[in-house]
Amino acid sequence: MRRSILSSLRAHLGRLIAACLAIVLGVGFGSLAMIVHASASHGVDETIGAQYKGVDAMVYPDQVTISPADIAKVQKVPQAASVVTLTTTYMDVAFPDLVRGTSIPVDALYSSQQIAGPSTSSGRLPTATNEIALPARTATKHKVGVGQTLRISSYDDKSWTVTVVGLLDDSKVVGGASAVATPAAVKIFDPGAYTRGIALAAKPGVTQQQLADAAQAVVTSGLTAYTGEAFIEHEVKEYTNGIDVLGGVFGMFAVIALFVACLVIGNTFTIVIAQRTREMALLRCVGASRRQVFSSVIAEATVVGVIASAIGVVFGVALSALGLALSREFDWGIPPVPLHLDLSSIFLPLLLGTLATLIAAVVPARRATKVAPLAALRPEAAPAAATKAGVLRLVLGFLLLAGGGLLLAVGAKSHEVLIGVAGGAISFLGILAVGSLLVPALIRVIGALPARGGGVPARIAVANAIRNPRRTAATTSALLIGVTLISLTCVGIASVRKTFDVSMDGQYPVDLMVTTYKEKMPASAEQQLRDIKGVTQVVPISKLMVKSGGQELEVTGLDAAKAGSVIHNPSLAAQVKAGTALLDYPTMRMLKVENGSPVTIVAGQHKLTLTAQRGNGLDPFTVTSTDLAKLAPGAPVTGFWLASVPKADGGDVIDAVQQSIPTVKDLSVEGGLAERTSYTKIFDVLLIVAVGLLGVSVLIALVGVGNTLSLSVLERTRENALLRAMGLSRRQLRRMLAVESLLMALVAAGLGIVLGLIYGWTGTSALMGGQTVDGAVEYAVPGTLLVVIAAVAAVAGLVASVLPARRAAKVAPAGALATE
Amino acid sequence: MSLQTGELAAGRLPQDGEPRTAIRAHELRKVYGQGDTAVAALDGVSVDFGVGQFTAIMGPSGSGKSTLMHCLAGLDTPTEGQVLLGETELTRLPDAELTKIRRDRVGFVFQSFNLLPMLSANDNILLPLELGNRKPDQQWLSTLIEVLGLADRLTHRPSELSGGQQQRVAVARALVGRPEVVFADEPTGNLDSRSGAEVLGFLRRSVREFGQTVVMVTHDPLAASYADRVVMLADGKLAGELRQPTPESVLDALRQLGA
Repeated sequence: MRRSILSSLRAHLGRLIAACLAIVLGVGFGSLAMIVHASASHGVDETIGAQYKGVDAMVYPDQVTISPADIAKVQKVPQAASVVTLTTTYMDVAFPDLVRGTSIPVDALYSSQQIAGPSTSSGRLPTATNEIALPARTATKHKVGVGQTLRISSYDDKSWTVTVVGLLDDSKVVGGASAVATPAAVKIFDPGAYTRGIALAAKPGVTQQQLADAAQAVVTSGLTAYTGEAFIEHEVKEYTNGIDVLGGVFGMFAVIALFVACLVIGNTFTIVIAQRTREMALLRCVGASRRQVFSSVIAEATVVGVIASAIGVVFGVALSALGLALSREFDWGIPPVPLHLDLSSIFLPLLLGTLATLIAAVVPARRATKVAPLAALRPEAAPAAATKAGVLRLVLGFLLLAGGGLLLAVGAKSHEVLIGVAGGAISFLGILAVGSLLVPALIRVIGALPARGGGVPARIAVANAIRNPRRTAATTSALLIGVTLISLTCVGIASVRKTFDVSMDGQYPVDLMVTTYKEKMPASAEQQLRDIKGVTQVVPISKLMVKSGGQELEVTGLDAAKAGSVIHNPSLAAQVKAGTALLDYPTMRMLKVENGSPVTIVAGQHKLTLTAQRGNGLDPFTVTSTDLAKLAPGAPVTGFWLASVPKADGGDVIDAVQQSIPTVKDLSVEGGLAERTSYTKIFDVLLIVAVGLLGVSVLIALVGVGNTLSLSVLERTRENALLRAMGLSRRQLRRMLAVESLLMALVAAGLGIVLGLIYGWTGTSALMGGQTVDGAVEYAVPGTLLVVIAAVAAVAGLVASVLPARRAAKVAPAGALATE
Repeated sequence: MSLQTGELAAGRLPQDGEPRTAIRAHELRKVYGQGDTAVAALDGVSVDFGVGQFTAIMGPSGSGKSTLMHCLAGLDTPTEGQVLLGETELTRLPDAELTKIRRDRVGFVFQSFNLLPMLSANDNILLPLELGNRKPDQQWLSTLIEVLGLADRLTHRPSELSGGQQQRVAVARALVGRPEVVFADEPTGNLDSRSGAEVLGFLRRSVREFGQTVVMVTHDPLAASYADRVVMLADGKLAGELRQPTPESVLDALRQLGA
């Protein structure tokens, strides 16, 4: 039997390569995910470990802050060889390239034989109170060198001039790096500087645990004394939470890719076996038992699975190495991570890949045992007759579909994510089960157009596409999973984002609010702001201190005609009208007014009574500029409200606004743009990552489409030869296969997009419904993205048909007809 | 070897009173394989087929009769020699041109697996015309359908038709475009004798009544006796010719070939 397995492997190598490709992609992707994850967490372990080298115990402010008394007590712990207090303050540094200073953390320097402190990459560490060392990357960003002096100021507006004496090596620091100054300097800058921990080094013979216990005994309750190892673990956990989430996401997508690969492999084996019906029957004729036939197919699958998985792992390792090298080369904002290979990230994908291949091969292998020995003696197997979809399977499928749909609706309505996810998964299984009925029906519908307009070849293509409903369904299923997940992600993210946008418009209706307090806005300020790239609207405002009911408060005046251009919430903008004052909730409570009640404000001799209205997200007391002029004619412009282009990089716009109007010393920049930018970025990254990861499964599915087509080509060799004899040109034949492939791809894409919309919307409702104030959720249709998905699927379908079509066109009509 | 071989091998010119030539082979050679393993399936065959004639090509297995037909029909290209369909030389044509010729100027009836399983009988009949975007001649079509007795079978799929019915559909398909030549490759090979006789009778009728040219490959002397002329082939060479054959005379000739 072994010889026959080996020779059949050799003989069907070409066909098996297609299956291999699916395994290689699935396994490669899985090992890539695992290796990158392992490397990243290993790298973080190493880096954080290095940062706390020599620390045997750490007193950490878990619930209460560390007081000077705690520090004094810890310093007296007899088991400690050295005690170091980690203190940090935030200072405003006036970098020469900035108009206004920026805040950076400054750590108090400590020196100890046992506990390693920060080291410099150039210059030296500060020794006097007027010296500072900056992280190298911060210094490079602001073009500051050793020897330069900087003006720094504390939060309470005291300032000092310090000299940069060194640059700190921050190439391996995880997260943002701090500057350092001497402990005395930090005490001067900020007498109450925050103590983020007390690090202890043990005397010889004292274990970490003993030291930690000794420290724990003397500090106030609410502080925790960790051993050095436990603290590093704690820090790593704090930091890698993100990576673990990412690892989970990666893992999930890898499983999806492997599942799709499984479908494709199963399909390919079915195909390979279908082609070898006669061969199998012949084996049975000469005395092979069913068992032997079964195990020969399984053995073949094992060999293919192991080899392809091994190639996949190598592929994954190579890709990871490449990716990590690239991330070191280009600064992607993540700490540089060396490639770290552990046994599990190599053997697990290998094992899973082989297992997946085996599982996928079981059904085709069982089918192979059902080949009757007599089949070898029959003249020529008739072209595969359409297998009737199992009635049981269909009934089950419809039950799953109905039950899952119901659960999905319940989950969406009750905002229960888990119920929604379960419903989605169950109904999707239902869709896959009824695929052999649904897919051909859809192909017939979509195919009606080419069948009418495209002549005979198109009509034959449509007929061919639905000839073997189960095979067509299996082929499209693989693609359907990928497309559904991608469109679900796109629709979901777009909907969540739109929901966020609407709730943001309520909370922060103005992108940016620029204000100065005691200073004068220069006449050119408006133009300066207008010139900033990304800023679309600039509306001047005036602020005035007034009195109302014995309370002093600030009133903002805004041109009613221009309100709509900067306030994103149209109904709020419409309320900015003469005679109305828009008050936020705290101001209404302070003045004890209600919606619609009159409110009187006084400025000098002028007095004005307005109708109070609730207006969230604007200034505390907002009126029209004409009303304000009645109180203070010719009140100066004290600030601007800005609107920005939604597509502009919010961070850049905020930076530019913060650095504008240099004649004003103190410029406050507030508004919703910062928040909007941060979640926009998150959504963009999420979208790119998810689509990229799911793209792999689509790629695998396309290998499957190509496979199915090439089987069809083989099965229909004589049919195609007949058509060629009848006068079908090579080009028409190729086009015929392209149409067949296109139909499968389009049905998968169309169905996937529709399902993606349904799942995306119900998912958004389940996920976000409980989060918004009124439970309202926005449903978005990311039209461009969806069209792109459909287009990509269509093009990919066409590409998948190229090789099989070429093979079909090569067959000489006479040769194919002669094999009788 | 005997029987007017010399006369035929010389590729004699048509004489007065003989019909015009529909298709002509000149010194055809077809070699499969290379070097030591090379086998000549056709080894210098020159033969003419007259317009409005029903010719049968006969010979033992491996004599090259199918290869000859494939070369004549533009399904295969000979290694050497020419094929002239009317005024067109087929042997130098690229695939696209050959495809057009097969579509528009030639009709086929094969032994088995003649019809596309997913098309109805009617669609199968019209297939070559539709491939060439030609409109069927409705009168001719209904004549064919009536004569072949297919009127109540037109909407059926091939799997719902008997072997004889399928072959009659194939005959209709071959004739519907009024091709210059209809090639039939063992058209009765898979049929019972009654259905076979029907199909052969109809092929002969198409020659007598409609002036169709038919070239048929067969190894059945009874089938060959329906033809006006039988061309014998052995070992890739012409081995004789019979006019107005009867089953007995064909059998005789075959016996002499085998001797």
